Amino acid sequence: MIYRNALVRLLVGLLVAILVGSVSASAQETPSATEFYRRAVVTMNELPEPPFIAFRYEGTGAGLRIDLATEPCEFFRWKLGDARTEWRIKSRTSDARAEFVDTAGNRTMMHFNPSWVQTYRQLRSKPLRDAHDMCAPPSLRPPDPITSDRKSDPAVKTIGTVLAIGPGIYRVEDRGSAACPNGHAGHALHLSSRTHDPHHELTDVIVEVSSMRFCMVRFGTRLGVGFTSDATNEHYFADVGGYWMQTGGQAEFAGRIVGVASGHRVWRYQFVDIQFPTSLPAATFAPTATDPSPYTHPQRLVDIGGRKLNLYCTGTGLPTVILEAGGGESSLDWRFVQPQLTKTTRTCSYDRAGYGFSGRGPLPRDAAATVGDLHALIAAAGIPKPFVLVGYSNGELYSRL
Amino acid sequence: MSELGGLVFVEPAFEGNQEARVDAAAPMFARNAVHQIAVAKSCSAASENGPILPGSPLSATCVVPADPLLPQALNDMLRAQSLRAGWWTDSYSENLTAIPLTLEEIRTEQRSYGALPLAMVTAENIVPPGAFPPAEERSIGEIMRARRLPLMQLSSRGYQVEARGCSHGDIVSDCADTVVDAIRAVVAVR
Repeated sequence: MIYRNALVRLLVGLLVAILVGSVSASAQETPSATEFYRRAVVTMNELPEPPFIAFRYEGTGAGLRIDLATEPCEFFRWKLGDARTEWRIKSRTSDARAEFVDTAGNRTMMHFNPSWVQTYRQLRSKPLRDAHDMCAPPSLRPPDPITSDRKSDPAVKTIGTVLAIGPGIYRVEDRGSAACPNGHAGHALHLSSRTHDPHHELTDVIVEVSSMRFCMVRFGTRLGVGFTSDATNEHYFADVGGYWMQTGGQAEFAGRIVGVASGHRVWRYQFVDIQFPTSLPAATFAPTATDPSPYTHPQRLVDIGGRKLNLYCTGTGLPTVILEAGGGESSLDWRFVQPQLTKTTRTCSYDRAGYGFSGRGPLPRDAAATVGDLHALIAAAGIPKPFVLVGYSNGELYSRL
Repeated sequence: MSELGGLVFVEPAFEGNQEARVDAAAPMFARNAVHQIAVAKSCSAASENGPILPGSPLSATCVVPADPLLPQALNDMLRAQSLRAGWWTDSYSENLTAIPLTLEEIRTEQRSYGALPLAMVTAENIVPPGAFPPAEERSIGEIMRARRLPLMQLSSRGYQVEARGCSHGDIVSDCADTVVDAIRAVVAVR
């Protein structure tokens, strides 16, 4: 059947959905593929997540390998060539910060969390097609829609799976029985976007029959024009200590030049020795050292009337973000914040009188004295308005005057 | 300040070490604060008269200890700063002797920000877990949370973000991403 326009397609889709719904209601013993999928999605909607996860990552490539890139931003960089990689990873699930330590002891900080919640977030952030935007600042999406008010267990995260990947978005085809990667009995379903949106990249799932949870999800997309690459990414899941964890997966790239196959590369990985520490030192998640040079010598010494204050501005755009350090601290406070903000807008930190590379000011150093200095600095340096003021600890006091 | 497009308070200031309420609820925390004030006072007096000499008895007290997570170049810079004439004096004035004046100025200026975008980023813990007895940690947390609530209400668009796993002193380093996201959100809604 050829649909002439999107409206007809939508109406037919609604009709099919209504028909499927009535069929499933009248034949409850053998639910349709759509209903089966819907039940699994509802099950996936609320799963507990531990605060910390420690595990070992083992990866092997055939024509493909990955490494960790932190410049110009954090991302997993695909490279050609065979390799075997091993990292020890400690992940904090609240913000997905993770410490990677390779076999030589080198430490890198990335965003990574092997729980189902992370995979769900990848589904919402368009993991494959928009990979070229990996350095763009994260979009300010509204909070995930809440589909349940059950909040008795703080470890359970309501993540809005129904709205993000539910049968309202995907058309579902039954592909019969299939084994889960963990060996348990499963049922395979093939998915396609109801609206043909290329960002709806979930193509296949296997549902573990005993738990009604996804034990395998596969994303897929076609990248490029002329020279194209069909990219798929599979995540495998299983119960580990009561949590539904990713235990492995594989990424696959099949290149084509004007439709002719030109290469096939695979990266396979598994997570082993998965543990759930109840706490980890905050230092585990401290960022790796950024370039210290802006803080080891003066940046721009601005004369504010016989005294000089050290000013450090980076980036472009408005508003200008002005960073006010905490009590007893200098612009060094912002060494992990300013490099990231710089990608968004003009950002300035400075040393208050007596700190860092700024000259001393008259006593007492009360808020009026500090704020007077800041006004003078802004005027003398010609820092463009408007401003967003950010005050840390005692710096908050000065940002309110 | 004119042309103010937004505010972000990151772990806003607190007067905990000067409050009888905290002294009563968290005696170990209070004793620690008293000790730190005594150190700052003696180092302030010493630095008024000139640089603190490396190797002198005072330098053992007044030199900021090296942070193992910082590159050597930054530790060197911080060490040099703490030995410099006047650094302790200015810091002591700003954080202790001038604080009552500062707070009075804030109270006088107290105002509503209308609908100005305002985010407050707070740490899950005021003090690092395990640094003080659990009962003290809870008490300090409750007192500070109650004190900060009115700050958010300075704007009708004020809201709070919690940086999980971090404490007051490490939020801008160990939870930098959360801080950056909050600032970006204020920049975006301007």
